[in-house]
Amino acid sequence: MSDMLREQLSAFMDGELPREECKLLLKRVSTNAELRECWNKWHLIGDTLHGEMTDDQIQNLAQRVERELDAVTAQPAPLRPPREHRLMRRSAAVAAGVAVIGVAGLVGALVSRQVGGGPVLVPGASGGSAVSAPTQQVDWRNAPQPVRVELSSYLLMHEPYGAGSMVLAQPGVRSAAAGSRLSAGAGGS
Amino acid sequence: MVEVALAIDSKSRAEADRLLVERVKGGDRAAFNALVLKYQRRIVKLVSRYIRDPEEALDVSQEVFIRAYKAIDGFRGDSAFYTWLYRIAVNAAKNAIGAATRNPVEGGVDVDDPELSEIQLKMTDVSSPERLIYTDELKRTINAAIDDLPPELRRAIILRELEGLSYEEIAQAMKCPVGTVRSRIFRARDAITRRIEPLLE
Repeated sequence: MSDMLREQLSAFMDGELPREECKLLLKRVSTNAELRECWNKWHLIGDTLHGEMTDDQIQNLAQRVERELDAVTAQPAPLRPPREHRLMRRSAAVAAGVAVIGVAGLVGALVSRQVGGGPVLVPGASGGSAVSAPTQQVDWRNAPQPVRVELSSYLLMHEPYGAGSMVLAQPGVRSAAAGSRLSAGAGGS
Repeated sequence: MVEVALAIDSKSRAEADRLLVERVKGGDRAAFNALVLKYQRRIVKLVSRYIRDPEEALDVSQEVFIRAYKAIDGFRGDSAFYTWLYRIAVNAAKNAIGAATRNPVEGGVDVDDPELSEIQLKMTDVSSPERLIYTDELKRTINAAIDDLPPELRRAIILRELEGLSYEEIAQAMKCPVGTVRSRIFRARDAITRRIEPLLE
């Protein structure tokens, strides 16, 4: 390693290296461990003179961090599908969401018409719901005949947009008591 | 004088840090390693003010750098890199204390003012006896090496490291070109490094 390079490093450390020299030097610092060792020792000298703690354990900290970062960056990144697939999936999810809300609203309206009261219905998705009000299970299969007919035809009409969501919604829907309020803060982490 | 030196030092430090951070954001891990090498001692000392156990202080310090690396894209450079790192360190140390419900070694670290805290840290040593012995030996060796330097190198390195003067100011004080100052400081560092190498091994 040349003296010129190390002299540049010394000036860089002091913030005194001209900008045009910095770029090339930093490329060298990235690829040359010896240069980084020099950097470490010079900082050690400065820190010792300034009264910082110095011991061999602390000297090993940078190595420990390196090892940890190796482990962190070695974890495979989740595979992302092509952009157009993601957009399609997103559109389908929006459509499914709209369909679920539609079904829930429909069932709610029909059930409340049939059994009286005015429950607010929400999809029976497992967990993550923002509704914190007391709930009761209403099985769609026990709904009166006209309701089931109307619901079935609605599902058939919208089946291509939200088949997966419908399966979840069918076995039962949660009915929040009338007058309940949405808990806006729930679900936030 | 200490405050003036710190202000100049942190200003020059900030420029080198900014360039290193740019490279880290571009995916250069070695540039991050350079930042760790530069700040590891300061961060351990800061964390040790909160956490008595030296091993745990090292663990938390390690976590500080990992967090910094993961969050570096969010660092916009509105403050100096060290100020940002300092806040991560204080928060990490406080969280560690909270998790273990331990008492900090020393309270009163200013979360918003790392320079003020640096002065406080210098006045309060929180080192373990082993660390003090090692640090004292290193300090003695460095001081002996500085004493043995040729006078022009000795003066240049003292003005830079202890007085915190810029190269321009040192050039004026020593009545020589800035390029000569740069060369003298480098040669002084090189000579001191050769003296401390046996200790480091």
